[in-house]
Amino acid sequence: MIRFASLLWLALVAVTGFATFKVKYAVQDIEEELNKVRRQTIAEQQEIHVLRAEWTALTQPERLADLNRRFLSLAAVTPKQLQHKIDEIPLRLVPEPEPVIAAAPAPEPATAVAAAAPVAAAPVAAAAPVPPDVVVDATAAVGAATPPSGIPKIQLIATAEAAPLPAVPVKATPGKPETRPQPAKGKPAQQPRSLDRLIDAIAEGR
Amino acid sequence: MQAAQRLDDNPCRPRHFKPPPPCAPVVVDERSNQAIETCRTRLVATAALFAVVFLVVVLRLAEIVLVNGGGAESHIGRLPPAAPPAPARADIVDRNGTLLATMLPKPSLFVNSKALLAAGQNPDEAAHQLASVLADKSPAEIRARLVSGKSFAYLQRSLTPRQQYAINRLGIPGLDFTPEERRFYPYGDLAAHVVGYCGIDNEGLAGVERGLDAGVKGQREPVELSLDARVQFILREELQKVVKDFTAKGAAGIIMDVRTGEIIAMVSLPDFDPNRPGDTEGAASAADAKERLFNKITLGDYEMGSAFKIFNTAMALDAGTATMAKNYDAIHDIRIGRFTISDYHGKHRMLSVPEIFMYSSNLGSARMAMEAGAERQRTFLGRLGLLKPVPIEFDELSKPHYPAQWREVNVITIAYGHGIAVSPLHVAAGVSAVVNGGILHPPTLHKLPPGTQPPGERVISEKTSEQMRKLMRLVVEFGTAKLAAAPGYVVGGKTGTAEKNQGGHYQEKKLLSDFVGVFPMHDPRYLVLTLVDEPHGNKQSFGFATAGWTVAPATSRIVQRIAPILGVAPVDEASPAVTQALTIESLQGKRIETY
Repeated sequence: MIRFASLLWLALVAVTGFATFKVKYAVQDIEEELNKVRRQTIAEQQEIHVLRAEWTALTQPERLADLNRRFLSLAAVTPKQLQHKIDEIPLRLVPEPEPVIAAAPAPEPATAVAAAAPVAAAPVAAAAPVPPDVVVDATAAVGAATPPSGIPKIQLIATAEAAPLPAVPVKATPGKPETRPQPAKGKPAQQPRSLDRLIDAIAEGR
Repeated sequence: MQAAQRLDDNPCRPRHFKPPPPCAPVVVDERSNQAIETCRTRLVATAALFAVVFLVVVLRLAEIVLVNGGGAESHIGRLPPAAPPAPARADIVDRNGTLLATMLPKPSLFVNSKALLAAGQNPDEAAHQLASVLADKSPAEIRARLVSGKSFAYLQRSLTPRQQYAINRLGIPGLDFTPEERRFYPYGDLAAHVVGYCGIDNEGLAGVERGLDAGVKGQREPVELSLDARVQFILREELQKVVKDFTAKGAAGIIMDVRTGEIIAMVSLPDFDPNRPGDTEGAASAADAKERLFNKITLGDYEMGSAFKIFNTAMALDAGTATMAKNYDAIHDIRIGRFTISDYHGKHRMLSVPEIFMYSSNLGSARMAMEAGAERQRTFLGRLGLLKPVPIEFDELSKPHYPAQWREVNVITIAYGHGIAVSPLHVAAGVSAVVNGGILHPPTLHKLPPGTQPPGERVISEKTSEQMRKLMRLVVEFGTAKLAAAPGYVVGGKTGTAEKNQGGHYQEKKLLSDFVGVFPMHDPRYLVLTLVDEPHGNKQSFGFATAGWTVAPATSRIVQRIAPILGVAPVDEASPAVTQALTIESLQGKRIETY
C-alpha cells in the first residue's frame, strides 16, 4: 500500500517536473519570438518614420507645384467653380433622347427636404440596372449623353459657362439604344421618367 | 537464544539492531504514547500540506499545459507597447499633421580595420566600392583608413538612409554604424522662421524650436502648430513674386484667424534653410546670411504708416469723439514746430470719417487724434497690446518703439503710423481685435481644438468693430486698395506706405508698403497682413511702389487661393446679406468719389 502511494507520488513528481520544464522552454521560445517581433516592430516603425519624412520631403508644395506645372497644369479653384446651393447647379445642357429610368420613383416631397443628398442618390439608384460598361461617373461634367447610334459611345458635355459642381457627383445614365436587349430586371415601361423630371420633382419638394 | 536465533533469520536486519527480548512487557506509558500520537498527527498534517501545495502546482501545470495556456492572454495587455525609444526632440507638425520637423537617424560609418583585414577583404576593392557610395571621399582616402590597423576609425559622419542601405548591401566585413540622430526639416525653407532650427546638440536656437524647447525636448508626442503648410506655401510664393516684381529687399506676411488668434501662416523673406542655418551658400555674404535668419514678423519693428489709421479711427469712434458722419478739415496743412503735415492723396476739402479713412488722409486722421487727446491715444494703443512685446510662443520678440513723452507732435504722427514702430505681429493681433467684434486674443502658434473659444479681452465695443469693418470694406471698394478685391470673398483692409526712417531721417526713396486685409468683411474669418521692404515701381504698377500697387494685388491673389483651402465659401458680394452688413448710412445717397 505504502509502495503504491510512493510510486504514485513519484510518478506525479516526474510528470510535474517534465511538464514544468516543457512549459518553461515553451515560454522561453515564445518570449524569444515576442522579443524578435517587438524588435522588428520597432525597426519597422523607425523605417516608417524615415519613409514619412521622405514622403513629406517629396510632397513639398513647391515640388508639387512644379510637377503640376510640368505635367498637369491644374489651376486654382475660382469662386465661379464653387457653388453651394442646389439651385445654382445647371442641370442638363443639351436635350437628349430621354434616358430610361428603371425603378426609383421620385422621393416624396416630405422626404426630399434634405439638401443635395437625394439629388445625387436618386440618379445613382436609377442607374443600377444598366450594364456597368456604359455607366459613366461624370463627376467632372454634369451633362453626359449618348448618341442613339449602334455603338454606345459616351460623350461628356461640359461648357465653361455652366459651372460644374465638384461637390455633388452625379452619375448619369446614358440613353440606351433600343436595339440592345433590355436587362430583365426592372419595369421601364411603368414609370418612364427623365432625370430632369425626377430632379424637378425633388426641387419642388424642397 | 533460540528466539534470538529466530529473529536473526531476517537477512535484512542491520547488525547493530538488537531485537527486543521476546515477549518483553509492553510498556504502556501514557506520556510516550501521547508523544508518538502527536508526532504522527504532525507528520500527517505536514504531509497533507505538502500534498495540497504539490497538487496545486500540478493542477496549475495541468491548466497551463492542457487548458489554453491558463489564460496567458491576460498578460498581453500588461506588456508595454513596442515603441522605439523617445527621440531627442519631438516632431513638429502643422495643423493637418504634416511634418515640419522630425528626427532622422543619421548613423555614422566606422571601420574596424583589424576585423576587415582579418576577414581577408581586399582593401582596394572595398575602398573603391565605398567611394561609389560616399560621394565626397576619394578611394585613396578611404583605403588609408581601411588599412590603418585601428579598431575604430570614422569613415563618414551623418549618413543618409539611402547611403546606409547601400553600404549594408556591399556586405564589406568590419564596417559598422554608430546610431545618431539629427534634426530634419522636410519642407526646408517653407516655414523656416516659424519652426526655427536646432544646434548640433539638438538644442533649439530659433523659432518654435527655441520658444517651445521644453515641450519638444525629449517628448514623444508631436507638437501641433496652428500653421497650415499649404497656406504658408501660397503666402510665401506670392510674397516671393512681389519681391521679384518690385525688386524689393524683402517681404513679410502673416495670416491669422481673427476669431482665435491662431497664426495660419507666417513668412519673412529672405529666408533660410533650417537644415543648414547660417549657411553662407546661396547668400551673398555673411551679413546676408544673418539677414536671412531675421524674422521680420516678430523681430522687425516698423513704422507701419497709414495702416495705423485703423487704430486711430477705432480709437476716435470708440471714445465717441468722432462719429461716422463727422467732418474734419483736410484743407489746411498742419504746422507744428519744424514739421508740416500734408496729405499724400490731397482732396483739399472737408472730409467725413469714412472719407478720411478711404482716401487715407493724414490731416483728417491727425485732427481726429488731436481731438481725442494724447492720453486716450496712449491708453488705447496700450490696451491693444501695441506698447509691449506680443505674448507668443517665441523668444525672438521685438519691443515696440514709442515716444517716452507723448507730446502733441507724437499724437499727430502716431495718428497716421509714424513715430511709433511695432512688429507686424502687433498690427495683426490689434486689427484682428478691431474687426472680430472687439475681442483681443493673444496670437498663438498652438493649434487650438476646433470650436474652442480662447480667452480674450474686450478692447473696443461691438458697434465700433462693426463700423470699422464697414470702413475697411470701403477702402477696397472705392479707396486706396481697389486692387485687393477678390470677387466673392468680400475683402476689406487698409493700405500703409511709410518712408523708412534711417538714422533719424526719412528716406524718400526707401519705402515700406504694407496692407492689412481681412476677409470676408461681413463676417471676418482671416486676416492677411503683407508688407514689402523697399519696393521699386515697375511698368505694371506705373512706377508706383505704394501699398495699393504692390501688396494689395498680392493680397487679392492670396485670398483667392487660400479661401478654398481654409473653407471660406465665396458669396455674392451684391447679395443683401453682405450689403446690409457693410453699408455706411452716412454715405447713403452720396456720390462716392473713387480714389
